[in-house]
Amino acid sequence: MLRHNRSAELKVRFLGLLQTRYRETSEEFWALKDISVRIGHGEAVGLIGRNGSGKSTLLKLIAAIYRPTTGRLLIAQGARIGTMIELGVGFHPELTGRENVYLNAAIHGLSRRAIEAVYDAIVEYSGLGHFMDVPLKNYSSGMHMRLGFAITANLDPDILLLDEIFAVGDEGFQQRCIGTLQEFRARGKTIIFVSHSPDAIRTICHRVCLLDQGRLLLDGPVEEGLKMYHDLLAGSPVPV
Amino acid sequence: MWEAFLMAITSTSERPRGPGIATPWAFLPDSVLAIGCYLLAYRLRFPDSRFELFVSGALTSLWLVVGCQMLALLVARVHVPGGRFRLISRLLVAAVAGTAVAATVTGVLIGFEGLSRIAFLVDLVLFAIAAIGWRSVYMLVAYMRRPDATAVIEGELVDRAVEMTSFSATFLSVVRYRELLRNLVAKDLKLKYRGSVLGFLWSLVNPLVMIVVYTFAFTYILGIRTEGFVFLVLLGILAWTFFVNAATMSTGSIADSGGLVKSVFFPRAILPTATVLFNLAQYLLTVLVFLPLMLAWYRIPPSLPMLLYPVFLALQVVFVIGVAMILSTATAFFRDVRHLLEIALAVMFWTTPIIYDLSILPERLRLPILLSPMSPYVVAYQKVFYYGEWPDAVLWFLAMTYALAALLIGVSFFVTFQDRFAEQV
Repeated sequence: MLRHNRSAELKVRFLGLLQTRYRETSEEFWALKDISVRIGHGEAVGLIGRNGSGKSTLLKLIAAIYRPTTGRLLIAQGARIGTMIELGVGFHPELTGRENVYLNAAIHGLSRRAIEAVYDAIVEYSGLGHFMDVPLKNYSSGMHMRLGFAITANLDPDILLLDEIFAVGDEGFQQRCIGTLQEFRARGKTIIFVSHSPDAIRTICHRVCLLDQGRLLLDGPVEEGLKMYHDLLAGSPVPV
Repeated sequence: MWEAFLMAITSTSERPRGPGIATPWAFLPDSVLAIGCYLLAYRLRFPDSRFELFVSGALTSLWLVVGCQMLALLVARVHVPGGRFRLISRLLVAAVAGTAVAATVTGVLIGFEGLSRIAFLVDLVLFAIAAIGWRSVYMLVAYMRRPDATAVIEGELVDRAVEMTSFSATFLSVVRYRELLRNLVAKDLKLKYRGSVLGFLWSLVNPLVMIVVYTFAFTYILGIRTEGFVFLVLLGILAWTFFVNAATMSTGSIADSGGLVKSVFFPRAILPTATVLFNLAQYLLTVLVFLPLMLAWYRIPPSLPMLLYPVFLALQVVFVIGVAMILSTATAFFRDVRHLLEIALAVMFWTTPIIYDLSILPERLRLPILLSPMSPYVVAYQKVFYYGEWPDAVLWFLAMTYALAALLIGVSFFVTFQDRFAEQV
């Protein structure tokens, strides 16, 4: 539901009485509509689509951050979900790297003992051993990403939700991330991956879902999806 | 376990509305509670033998008062469906207007002979709490029993958004995520003084300066020579500061953590709870240092009633957590809450006996002052430490009622609104 001129302000109420232009109008807007997807254990699915097509909303629905207006979203009981939806979320700039790792892992529901157990692995993976006592405000955005991904990867999720994460990392770390994701896939974990990069999609996923204006255009093999997405960008008519 | 999950977002049905509490049947519990509140108001006003003198007057005016209150609810159309925030505000206005009209009509028709004007004020507060309170309970029960509340479907698949925002999960999550709670409190404590030379000593400097200033002001400017009066003031000030800081901070605990709420899933109830616990930690720190010092300085002998301090403190914490939940939920939807709170706190500072002693007030003014939300707790601390007396029944009643009502209303609001936080912040 999208409301134009939505406002709780009294000012707008009064203006609305005088001029239709200011009146609150509402229009139904579905960020996602009529989507039915089944994703099996161990699948790696890429979500592609233009800006505003609903990819991130879908991820947030899966992560239980949003709740569907209607319909159901079901997840295997006890499955751990790892999210990497926005960069550096839950990080506090004034805290050191070490403190941020503890805070961030706690946000994902880990106990103190569990955090201590994986702490070394996280530091090792991120390659930021030297900078763990430095406040995060002094980190570069690439270092932010490294730390964030290192935490998510080491929490051993059963379902991994990733949103556009390769934008800022250098090539070495990108390779490492892709390696980790492939290893995840080999271990039978489920990956759902939002990206605009065809190469990343090709290396990681073996199935893509193409979204456009909140609708599922295609759910199928990678190459077919990428081609359709390409056509969509080029503006050529798309068979629905 | 082959299928990790299945999702279906369909447009077949309307968005399920919040549980409706607006039915004409609502007048039944409302009127029963109104009767109870009016009688209770008289009991609170006259806890002694005078109650028997006044009870007949109370009974003759009872139908008039309850009638006026129900009429006001009818005029305010609280039985007509609408937004829940709107409903609560209409309910409050109706309670105030209804009781005011009731007092006026009673004065004109019967006269105040054998009646208590203060009791009307008490009745107003009790009735407003009761009317919102039972609706909150109803809202919570309806929320738990709504058709799509069953989380587990098809054996091993589960609707996580429903599962995690249920009432029981909200409570359990505070236990399950205690590491996060601890981390959030520690984070705030660390950040507050990071980079400053004196560090946490600043928490002690503040009350220390206050003691000096108040001692000077009361002794030399106002000329109050009561022994240990500053101690009485300090007991109130510290508890009040805890409340004010927690309430003010909690308005931002959801609204200002948009990034977190929007991109990571964790139980949201942790946020306001952490805010309150952070402020509690600061309060305890100052109390642990200053309370023994002040007791020794003013040569106040230890007495048995002091053992009740933890009990009233626990009640205050429950009260503050409830208030924090109400404020954090309301601010997520209406940013006006911050401005409103600022004004309310300025008023409440003077309606709470902090820098004056309740016993200097005329007898009939004491109960209205005690009705101010923070008063029962502040007065209880003064009673047990300054006077070394046991708190009386009215104090117990108010402290427990406020704590319970705040928690109930807060949890009910928080639980039933929390799945919309991510869209609102």
